[in-house]
Amino acid sequence: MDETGLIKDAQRGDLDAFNSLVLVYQDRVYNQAFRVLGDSQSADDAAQEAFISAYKNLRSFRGGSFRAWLLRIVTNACYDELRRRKRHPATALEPVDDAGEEIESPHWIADPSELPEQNVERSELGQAIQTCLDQLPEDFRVVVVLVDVQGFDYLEAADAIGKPLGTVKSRLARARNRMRECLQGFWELLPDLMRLEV
Amino acid sequence: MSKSDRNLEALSAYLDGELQGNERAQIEKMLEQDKDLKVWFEELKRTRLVLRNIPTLRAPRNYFLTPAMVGQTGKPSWAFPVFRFASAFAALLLVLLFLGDYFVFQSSVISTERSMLVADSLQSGMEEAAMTLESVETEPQAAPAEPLMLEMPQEEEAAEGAVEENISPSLAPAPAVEKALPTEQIPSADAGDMLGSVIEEDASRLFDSQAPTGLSEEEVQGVIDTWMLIRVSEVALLIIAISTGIAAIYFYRKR
Repeated sequence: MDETGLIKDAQRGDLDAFNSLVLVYQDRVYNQAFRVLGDSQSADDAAQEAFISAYKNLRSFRGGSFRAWLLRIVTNACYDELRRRKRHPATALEPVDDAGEEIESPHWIADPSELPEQNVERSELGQAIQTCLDQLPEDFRVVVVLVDVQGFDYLEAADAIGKPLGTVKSRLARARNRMRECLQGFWELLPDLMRLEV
Repeated sequence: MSKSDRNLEALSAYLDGELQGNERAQIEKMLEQDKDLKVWFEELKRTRLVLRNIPTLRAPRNYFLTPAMVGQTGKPSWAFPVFRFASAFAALLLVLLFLGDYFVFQSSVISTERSMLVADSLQSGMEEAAMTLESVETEPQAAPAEPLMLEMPQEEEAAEGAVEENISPSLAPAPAVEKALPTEQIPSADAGDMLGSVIEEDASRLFDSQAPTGLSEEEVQGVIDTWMLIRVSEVALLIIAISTGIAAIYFYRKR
């Protein structure tokens, strides 16, 4: 796939070309939104909104990393959603079992291809990580998701959040340290590979 | 060494291979010397590993965009500007046609008023001529033809004079009058009848059609045809202006 060609076609109004880019980046965009916002419905809305916004503002893309440009848009959509939540706080509807107890591992995080035991462990680990991410300040969370989850380098992350390189380094270091502290209680959930590396 | 913010940033950057030269050598030396720092660094490294292995979620659906989502109706439409122009052009033509028609109508009203005056004069002249003829018929043997011949032109001249007073210079003299007043001939009783019938016919034509005097039937027909053409054109332009205007609004909303 010629990404540059698709971008140019999309800039000329070719919606099919843009949809080809959507197909490539939609998982990344959704993951970024999910990790920053912490719930699937808001992440779904933010991802859709981000792609619409990206298409409408595609002429402003002047080259460079399209991935960083796209994730910057979804990050801004996430900030908008977080601001909206602050203005209109709502009680989350957590899933409960028959006894009325909260289900810690909702089914929508499950990967049906795994064994049940692996599924439970992976779900619990995933939820533990998400819980720790949710406790981070928004700015720290965005950077740590970009660098450690999405695999961006510092320059791309700086481009994506529109901040200087030093800000990225500083926020990332603090975010990692807070995550380290938060994950102390979940080490037993780590897979063997991760435990052996320590 | 304390776990200061500065060291934290340096360790994090070292972990990502972002430190170069002296900074890198300095951190490596500190890690060799400080076991607590080493443990701290290893925990940081493991945290990063956990984050890098976080399950990647698949998007719950495709986020393909549709034209409606981005306010697009496919390719840019040529229809709106074309219909807008057509509507405006038809409306302009209609206005011009109305204005032209109005001024033509005004002048035709003046002509008609003048025609009415001419017709009045003709009618009075005709009545006088008829009365004279009547008096001639009642004394056919007593009076010679000459006095009549002498009187008739006077009467007719008077009528003609009245006509000419009321006819503007632009209007042609009534042919009926010219026809009815042959100065060389001596009108007899039959000639008087013929004169009266001709005048009556022309006058009735004037009243019936309200056409300007001096117009032949072909010309009157031409005027009627023109009038019809103008009306049809006005209606057609009105329909075009409205229909293209509606089409323009439709395509504007559809954009």
